[in-house]
Amino acid sequence: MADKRDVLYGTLGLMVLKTLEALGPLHGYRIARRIEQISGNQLAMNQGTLYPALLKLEQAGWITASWGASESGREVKVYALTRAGRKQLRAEEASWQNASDIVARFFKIEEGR
Amino acid sequence: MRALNRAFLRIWGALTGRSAEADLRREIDSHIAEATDDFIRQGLKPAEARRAALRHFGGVAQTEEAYRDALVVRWVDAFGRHVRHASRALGRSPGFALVLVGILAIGIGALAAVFTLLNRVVLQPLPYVAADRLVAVRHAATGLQLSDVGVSEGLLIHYRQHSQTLEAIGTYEQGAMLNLATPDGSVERVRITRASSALFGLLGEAPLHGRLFTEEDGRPGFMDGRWPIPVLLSHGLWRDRFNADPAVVGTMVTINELPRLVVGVMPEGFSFPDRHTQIWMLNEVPLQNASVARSFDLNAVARLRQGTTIDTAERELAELVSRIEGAFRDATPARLAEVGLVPFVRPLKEQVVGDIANVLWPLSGGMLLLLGIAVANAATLFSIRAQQRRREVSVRLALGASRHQVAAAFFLEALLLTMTGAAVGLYGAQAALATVLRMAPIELPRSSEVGLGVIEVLVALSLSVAIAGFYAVLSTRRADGPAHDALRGGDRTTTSPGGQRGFDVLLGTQVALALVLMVFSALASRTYTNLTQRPLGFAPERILTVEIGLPFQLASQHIRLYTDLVDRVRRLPGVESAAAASGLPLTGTDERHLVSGSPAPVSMTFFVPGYFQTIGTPIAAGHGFSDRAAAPGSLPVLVSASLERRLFGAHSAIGQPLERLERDGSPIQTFLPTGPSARPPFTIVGVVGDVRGTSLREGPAEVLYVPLVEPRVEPQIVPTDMTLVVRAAGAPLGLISAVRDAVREANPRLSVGKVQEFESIVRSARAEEAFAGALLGSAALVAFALGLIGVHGSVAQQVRRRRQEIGVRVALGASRSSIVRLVTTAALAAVGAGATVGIAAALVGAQLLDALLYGVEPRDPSTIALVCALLVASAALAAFTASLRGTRVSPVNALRGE
Repeated sequence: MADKRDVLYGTLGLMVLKTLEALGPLHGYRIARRIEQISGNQLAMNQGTLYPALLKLEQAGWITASWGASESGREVKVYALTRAGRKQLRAEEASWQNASDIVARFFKIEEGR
Repeated sequence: MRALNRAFLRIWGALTGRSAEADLRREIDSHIAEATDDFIRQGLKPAEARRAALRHFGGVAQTEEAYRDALVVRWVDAFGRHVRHASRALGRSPGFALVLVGILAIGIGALAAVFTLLNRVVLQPLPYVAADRLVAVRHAATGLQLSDVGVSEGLLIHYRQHSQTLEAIGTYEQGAMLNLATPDGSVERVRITRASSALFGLLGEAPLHGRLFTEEDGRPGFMDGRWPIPVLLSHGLWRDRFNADPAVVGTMVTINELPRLVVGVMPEGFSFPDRHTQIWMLNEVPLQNASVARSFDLNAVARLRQGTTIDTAERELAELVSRIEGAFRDATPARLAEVGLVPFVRPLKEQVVGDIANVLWPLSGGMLLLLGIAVANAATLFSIRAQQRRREVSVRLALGASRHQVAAAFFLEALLLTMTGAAVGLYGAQAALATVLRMAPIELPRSSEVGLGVIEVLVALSLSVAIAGFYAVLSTRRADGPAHDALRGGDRTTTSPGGQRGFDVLLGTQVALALVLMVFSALASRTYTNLTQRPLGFAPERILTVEIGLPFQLASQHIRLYTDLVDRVRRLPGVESAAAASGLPLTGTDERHLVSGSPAPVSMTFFVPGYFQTIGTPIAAGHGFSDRAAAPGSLPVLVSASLERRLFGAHSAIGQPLERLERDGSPIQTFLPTGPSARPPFTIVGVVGDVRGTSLREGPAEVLYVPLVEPRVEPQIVPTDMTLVVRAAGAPLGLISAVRDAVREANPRLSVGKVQEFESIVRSARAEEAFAGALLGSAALVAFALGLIGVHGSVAQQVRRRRQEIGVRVALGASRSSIVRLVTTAALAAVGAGATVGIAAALVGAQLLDALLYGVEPRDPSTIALVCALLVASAALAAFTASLRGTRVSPVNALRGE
């Protein structure tokens, strides 16, 4: 547990968007599991923290929520990416890439000294 | 903060019918159920699986909290952002905001103040138990030409015995001024209301100290002095004269030299039947020897039985009157036919509140009109502003703002202004109410406090929300044109007639409303002028009036005392002339008696010789007064011209005998311990010019003037109350202390009552009309000004919109005068349409004023024509100047579109 890091709040939204883009509409539990699985269980998040994040994404108009059924037939809220969300994801992806490239370059300089 | 959030969400949920929290709870439940299923599939036992699922989820409570925060923060944020945005937008045009707040504050404030009065005085029930069933029982005595009198002893007893529709009947008699010997030894005139014990039971008001009157207090024989007559003190008298000492209950006080028992003190604010009453004294009608038609000066209050209507009660009483024959000594067919009694029942409220409703309703209507004008006027400003912001709005729409958002922004801006306007207006109304109440002739059923209440504030706030909504719709429609037109930069397409129609409608509305309000105001002021111009029949200038009270024990000396007093006052420096009379015109204090030859009672006024000369009433015929009687042993009297006309027609009254009769028309029968009373016959020696009676609206009073000379009248009608009239050389109020000293020197047992200028008596006789005239007049003035500003603004706006068109016309050779004519004509069409609607509305609405008006018809054509001409002419002038300024433009600039 100790070496697992809490998910950074700001990146959680991005992960949700990416997840919905990759897998299509999902309900909350599936989104949480998917994020945990992709990170190779490196990220231990309180799955509850997902919901305020989902609300914010919904309020921003990047995802929509509607009541539907899970694989087991349970009534769940299903989230889907909107067009605005897809656009946002593209933009975020680019700037994230950019940022991490810059940071990576700094680490390279550090090593090359 | 958490509690606040939760409360906010609950309200939101209630409003929208959705609960975000319940949604989240269902979602969390499904999440945990899904996770539990997964863990079970991984081989955990159900209970363990569920524990693991909960562990992975983290704190459910924290999640809910974070979720709530996210929800609320967004709304609060959005709202705050919009408010900030709106105030920034308004801050860019402070002039607009200031003018708008001012206009709306006047409109809302004036309405709020007048509505508060209307609500408190007219609309709200009287503050008594089951007040909606309290009624006043009144009569018309058609044979005596009395249209509105109270009940007689006989009628009261008859109704109490037989009425099925009235639960109980109480009585009161208003307004006697008696002498109260206060504990500190001085004598004071106090206003007494005589009331029956049933009255207090009906009103249901509990005493502050002690008890109310009981039936036991008034059992037969209570007038014989076998036990003291009980009195109740008003809170004010108790506080000022008895040091608010509860121990006064149970003690004796001396009223008119007779001992009375204080049984209780009424609470503060209890002011039935008026706020002047200081002492309530028990008065019950005697069951023996009651008469049906001798006097109708008891005011009766009754409670309708549950489920009974006023009509039913009225019918029943009429039926009872028809069966009263023979029940009382004077209930003879002949006498009943002569009097012609017709009972009627009205809500007690009408009786107490009186004519002020006639004033407050039209005033409220007028203020509503004023608010309408203010709203329409401000709407023009909003429209102009929206027009100017077309580009800004187009940009916002192009950048992805929804029309909904644009409308919301407009609404919020408008709401900021209307709310501020309402707040300023309410504040002003609250401040103005105190002043208005002081000048208003209003008898409040509970006088302690009149201020803006919750209802008024709520009404004002909802009004401002509604107005803001109206402005938002208006602004959005005006600003939300085809985006490319606005963005292209010119207003080239807006010369379309459709764009102007909105402005024209607003303009017409203002003109119509202003016209109605001005007609109202003109009618009210004509009423006031008519009343002012009615000849009073006397000259009240520089006259001081001083009420004097005389103890009954001194009644036998009244001639000597009053003659001596008047002589003393005449000798005072600064006094031109002085006299005294038992009742002055317009004070409503006249005594009425039957005289021979007249079926209706006439006013009888006693006077100290010199009275007519002092008040400036001419002697029309005969002589004012001389010491010698016309016939030996008879009393020389004078009659008013109107009384002469009625009694003697075209013949002269001079030298005619006149006899006072009992109220049932029988000869006076008076017996004193010393034998039959000497009752001098009257001989008419003079005729006096007519003076106004109790009100300016009525015809001249029919008065019999009896001098205070020998041979004196019978003791029953000797006047103990007289009013000194003192004509001063300078300011009359400067004489007060000298006159007071003279009264004390004349006899220390005389007491001074109300002291006032005669002119203020005259003023208060037309106070209601003055009040209505002043308020409607100021409202009309504001309306007129707003209307003209509206016309000016609307025309200026039209010129601005048509700049390019005008430029083209000028470039093509149109003269400036033709342009001015073009623009002015268009505006005047709207003004004319508004005036037409206004005339129609005034014709209908003026009925509201009917009861207030005097000497002018509600649909007086000359008033309407005059107001209309004034308004249209001023509007034309405003339109002309606006167009003149607007068309002073070079065609090059105009065409360039800048």
